[in-house]
Amino acid sequence: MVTPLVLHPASLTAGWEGDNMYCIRLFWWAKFVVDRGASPFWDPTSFFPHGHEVASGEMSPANAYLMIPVTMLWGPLVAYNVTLLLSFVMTGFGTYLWIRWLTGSFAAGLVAGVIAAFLPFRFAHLVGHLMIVSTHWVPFALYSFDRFLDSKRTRWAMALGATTAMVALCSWYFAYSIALMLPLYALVRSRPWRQQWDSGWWRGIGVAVAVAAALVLPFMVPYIIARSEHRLVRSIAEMEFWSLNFYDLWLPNSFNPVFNQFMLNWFPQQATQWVERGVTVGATAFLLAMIAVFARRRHPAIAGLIVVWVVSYLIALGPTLHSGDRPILVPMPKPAVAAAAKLLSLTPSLDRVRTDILNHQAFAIPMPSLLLFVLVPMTDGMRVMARFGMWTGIMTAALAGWGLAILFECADGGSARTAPSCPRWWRWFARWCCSSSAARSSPCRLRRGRSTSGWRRSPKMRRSSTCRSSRRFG
Amino acid sequence: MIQNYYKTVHEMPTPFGRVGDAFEPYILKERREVLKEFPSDRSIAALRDWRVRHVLFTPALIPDWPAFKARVDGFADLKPDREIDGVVVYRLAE
Repeated sequence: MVTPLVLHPASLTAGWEGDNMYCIRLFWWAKFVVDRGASPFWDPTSFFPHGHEVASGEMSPANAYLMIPVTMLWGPLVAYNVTLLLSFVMTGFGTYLWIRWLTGSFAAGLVAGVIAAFLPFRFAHLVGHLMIVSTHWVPFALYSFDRFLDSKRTRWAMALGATTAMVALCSWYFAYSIALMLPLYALVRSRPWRQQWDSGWWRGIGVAVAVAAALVLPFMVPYIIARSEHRLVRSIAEMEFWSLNFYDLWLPNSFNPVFNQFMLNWFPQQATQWVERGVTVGATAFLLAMIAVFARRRHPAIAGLIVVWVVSYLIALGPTLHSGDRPILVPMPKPAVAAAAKLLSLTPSLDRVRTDILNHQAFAIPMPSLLLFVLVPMTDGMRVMARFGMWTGIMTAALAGWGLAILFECADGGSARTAPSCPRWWRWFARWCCSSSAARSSPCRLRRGRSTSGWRRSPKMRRSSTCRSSRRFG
Repeated sequence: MIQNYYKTVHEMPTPFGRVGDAFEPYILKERREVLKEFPSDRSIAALRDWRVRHVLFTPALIPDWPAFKARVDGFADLKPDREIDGVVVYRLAE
């Protein structure tokens, strides 16, 4: 799917002449800074002789600065293309590592990795939004967290801090989203809290926060200053424009040649603005994810994934609930309109919402993004909340991996301990699904013989692909 | 947008910044406003203020290029210099 990039990294790039040129320039700028000993935040060669503050856009230092050797050797275009390709490899590998570790299943890790690496969301942004394609540190951050939770070791806490910082330094959108999503995952994932939140936990979290802050803050300071001067602020109308319909996640992928014409006819907005609205998670991935949801939703790891999935999905919908590319309006009696308008007049940034309510005598159903816009600093610097779809996509991939592991487990028969919740009809279905070679290459066999941190599996349990995780996390 | 790529090759100072910044700086609006009337005495004087030496045109992107070119050629300070891959380069007299 990315063959042209691999074959011609020095003369081609993905997409048309657009934001990709901007991103290529970021790589050049990082090299220029190191080469000339210039400030990374002030470009004296732009708007000459005035100069230009770089903090009026993305810097993506985790991409541009880490690739300086490549930029110096082969130029910014090659560095950009290599980063694009690496983002596929690393997203896939990171998700594989993470899910394989959680489930103990090679196949589950592999499937989750492939789904995450080739998410339609990533392909939609491949044409020029390198920062948004750079999902590659996210699974590593989640993997580091889970390893830290298991061991409470300082090195995993440091890895968590470093990988979280890398996520933030790829894109400020991701910085914002990981600041919301990772604590949420950690909260649900670390149940039972009384057992988990011991001194080792708090020390590790402190280390992770310190490492992340040390890496991110130097790059963040100019943005904080700019914001304090009321720059880098957007209106709620801009955010509203990029709201998703509540069903967009389940629409067919408009890249798919089979569905392309259908999408153009029936969902023209999604088909034409697919760069920002291409958030589909894919039918197979979603069905596999549903297996995990229905079979093991109480499992702390799966519960964590589900909660992040739901919250990221709700945030991705934008400030108000949309259907048919317009807000769903609920008519209100006049006194309620007056009360709502009065309440909204307290928040000048929501003037547009207030005007809409007064004009339509109805209110649009508010979504979490609206609350974030009012309450959480930095939210008003964002435009496309649909980019939270990245989290929904990665969570779908992770859940799909779990789903596959559970499927294998049920097909394998499992034991009363490992597969207690497999009804008979479900085992038949699982066996039917796995009746091909997939079942015979049951993932647990690939793991047989590996020790797992002090816990020894019984021969019976070794047959099950999720046996290790069931013991460790169940 | 292609200006961004050109910059990585020539590495010279330019009168514009990164094209595509999430938040447009005010100076971009100012300069864009001045150049709206290009070619004119005022816009050419502004280019000189910004120490511009070369002005690049992409005829394929300019509606009615022959008429526009005729207007540009009417200014003695702008001299045709060369054409590179469909981009016409004019030199601004110092």
